Amino acid sequence: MPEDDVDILLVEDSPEDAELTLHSLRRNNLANRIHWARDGEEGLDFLFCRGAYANRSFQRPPKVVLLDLKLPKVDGLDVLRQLKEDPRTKAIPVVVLTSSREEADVVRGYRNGANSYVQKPVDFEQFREAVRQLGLYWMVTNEPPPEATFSRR
Amino acid sequence: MEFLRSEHMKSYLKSAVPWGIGLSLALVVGATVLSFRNLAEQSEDAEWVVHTHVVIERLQTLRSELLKVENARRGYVLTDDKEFLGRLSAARDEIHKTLGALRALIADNPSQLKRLDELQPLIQARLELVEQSLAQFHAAQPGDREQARLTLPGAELTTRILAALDGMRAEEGALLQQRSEEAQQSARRSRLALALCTVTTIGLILMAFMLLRKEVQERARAEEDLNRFFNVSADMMCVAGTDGYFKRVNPAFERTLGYSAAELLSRPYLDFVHPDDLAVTQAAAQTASATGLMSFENRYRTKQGDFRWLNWNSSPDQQRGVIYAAARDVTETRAAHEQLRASEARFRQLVESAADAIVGVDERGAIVLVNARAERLFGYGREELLGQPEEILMPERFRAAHARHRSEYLAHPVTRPMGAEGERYGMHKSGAEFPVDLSLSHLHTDQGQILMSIVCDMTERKRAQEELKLRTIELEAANKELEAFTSSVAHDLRAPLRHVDGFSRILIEEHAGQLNAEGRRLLDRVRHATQHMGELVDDLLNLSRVSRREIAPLVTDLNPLVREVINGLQTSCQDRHVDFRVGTLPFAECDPGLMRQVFANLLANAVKFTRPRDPAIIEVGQSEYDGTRAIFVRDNGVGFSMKYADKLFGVFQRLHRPEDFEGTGVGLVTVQRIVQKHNGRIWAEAEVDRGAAFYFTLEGLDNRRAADTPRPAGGVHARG
Repeated sequence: MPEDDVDILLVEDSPEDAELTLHSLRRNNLANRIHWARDGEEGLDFLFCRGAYANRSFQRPPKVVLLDLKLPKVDGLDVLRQLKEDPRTKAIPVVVLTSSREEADVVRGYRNGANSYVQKPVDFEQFREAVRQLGLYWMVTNEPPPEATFSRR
Repeated sequence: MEFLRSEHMKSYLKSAVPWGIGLSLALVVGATVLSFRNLAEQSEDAEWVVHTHVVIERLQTLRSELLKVENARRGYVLTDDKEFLGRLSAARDEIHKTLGALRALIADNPSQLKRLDELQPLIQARLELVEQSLAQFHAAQPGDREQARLTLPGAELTTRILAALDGMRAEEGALLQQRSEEAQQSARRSRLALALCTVTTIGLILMAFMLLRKEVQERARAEEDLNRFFNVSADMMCVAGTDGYFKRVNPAFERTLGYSAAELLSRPYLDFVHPDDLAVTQAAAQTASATGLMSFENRYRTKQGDFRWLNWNSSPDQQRGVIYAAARDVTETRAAHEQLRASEARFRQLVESAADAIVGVDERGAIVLVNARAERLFGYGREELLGQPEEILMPERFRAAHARHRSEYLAHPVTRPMGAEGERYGMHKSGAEFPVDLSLSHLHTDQGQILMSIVCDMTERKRAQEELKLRTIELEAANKELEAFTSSVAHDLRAPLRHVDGFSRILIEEHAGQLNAEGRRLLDRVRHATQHMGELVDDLLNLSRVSRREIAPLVTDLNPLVREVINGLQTSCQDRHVDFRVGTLPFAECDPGLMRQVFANLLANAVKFTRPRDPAIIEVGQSEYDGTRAIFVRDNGVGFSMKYADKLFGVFQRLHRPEDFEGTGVGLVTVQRIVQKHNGRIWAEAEVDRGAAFYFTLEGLDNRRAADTPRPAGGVHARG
């Protein structure tokens, strides 16, 4: 899968959560172009087209970032902050995945940065439903930002 | 002013009267002496006139007797009748007698005496001449006798005698003239003096009368003044005789004792005196008569039979044999004093028995009062403390500033509670320091201000406080740790749970065909268990969140809040017949998010436990308990036994079997926690199979909006 054709970037350290998320997306035919970053650093490398992703172009950003908060190395809120501070990545919609309501409270403080947040429920059915609606919204309903928004520095 | 003027007048009169009387006496005496002297003079003058008349009359007699001698001689010579000789002798004797008298009469007049001295030899000579002629006649012969009869011897002598007599008479006449005039003058003077004396006397009598009248009026007025005072005096006044009877009593006497004046005067006054006070009264009466003024107190019996304490001042008048006395009814005063004494005794007792040490100091800081506890606390005996400066009771370093503190406090004496004096230390006789709590107050006494310190030994309390503080810190730390642990455990448990649930779900959905019925049933059990655990974890997390959360109170209308919750619940009971009856609810100052959770949990419980009921009736409303407004949620569900009511609000405590009613046993604990955070109280009333009711109060419930009783037919209805 060419890295420039990514629709959804999933930043998630837990392989189980990642697999379940991917499973849910796939069931809703939304998993075609998903890239999974294992930690915050990799997520940032991908978004800022550096390191292993140096050949990526800012011109082709993901349509949505699903961002877990608890991440090794660089944590989710840091990723969110850096993303939103940079004019090249600022327009990329970010959906924060939280594992508890506590985290939801934290995210609320960053409301301006995050475009949405989803609490990962224990009940998989609920989670799948949440992911489905979220995917549908960002991939189908939402008009992605025009390319001019991601102009090179 | 009138009073003063008349006083002044009186003293003036007092000094003027003796002078006036003296002057009057002098005038009267003077006038009297003058008139007496005039009278005496007048009578003397009159005597002199008479005297002059007598002298003249004697001179006349002398003259006529001389003529009688002449005539008698002639008669005898002519007639020779012897009778003429008798006459002649008588006249001669008369002449001698008259001459003697005359000499005596004019003894005071030398010129007349001189004349008389000249006259007397002439008369003597004349008489001798008559004797001679008679002798010649007798000796003559009858013939010669004729010759003798014709001769008249001594005619010339007779003429001289008569001239001398006339001279004397003329002088006496002049004297008579002079003396008559003198007598008239002195009579005039006498009349004048008498008139003067009379006028003066009348004037003086008039003046005396005026003065007397004025004095009488003054006296009458003074007496009336005294009488009025006597009558209006609130104090009792009397005059008592040494015979032991009242002579006069004023109306205050009658008012105070209830007897009429007549009754009081009719019996010896000792009859009215309390038997126990007789000795005092008699002693006082004796002392009074010895020393003058006397004060004492005794009791008098009133007509009603009780006794009044009287305070007497008496002053005896020895001469008149009476005692003037005034008395004041001091029964109430004495009672007040008695009460004061009693309350003072109680005060002492109170101070003495106080559990805290009490130290009283005067304005200079000298200890004037200590109680038993103070003696024990500071280790001194009472006699060691009294009179000492209070500084001995405190450590050295506080002493210097203490005098200033004391004067500051006395300048603004406000009773201060324990502890208001800040951290203080006391010092035991041994020098050991100990923490104390002080409260200050002050008393006004007849010996000046007394600053009272209540000293509470804080050693034990301080130690307990320190320990409590330590324990509280420990406890708080432990609680925090526990909450953090709960939170992280719950948190960390969620992820694997989610995974178990997720993968088992996928297994069922996508690989069910490869499992037999038993395999699918077991997998189902796995999923149920996972879900239950998920609920437990979520509820626990929620509870810990609620516990840690600071409430953000807003004035909230509970009516829409409850409606929203019911609307949310209706989806879960669409297949049932549930009758929600919501009365009018008040406004409450509360955290609306948390309050929503309270109603959600209580109503969800009600919905759950009414599952066997058709229709299920769930009521929400307000009522009053012990004057406090409470909200209730009541249902007609399966209820529970009140035996287990104490387990209702324990974590994971459940009163029903999980196969009958699902649940985690955390919901009510969360509700309770929220209510407590709102300073409220929650309790339940229930009966097995008869339903349950939960009541709670909130500090912020608007009690003004007294609401109606729940409306059974109104409110929100939900039907499945």
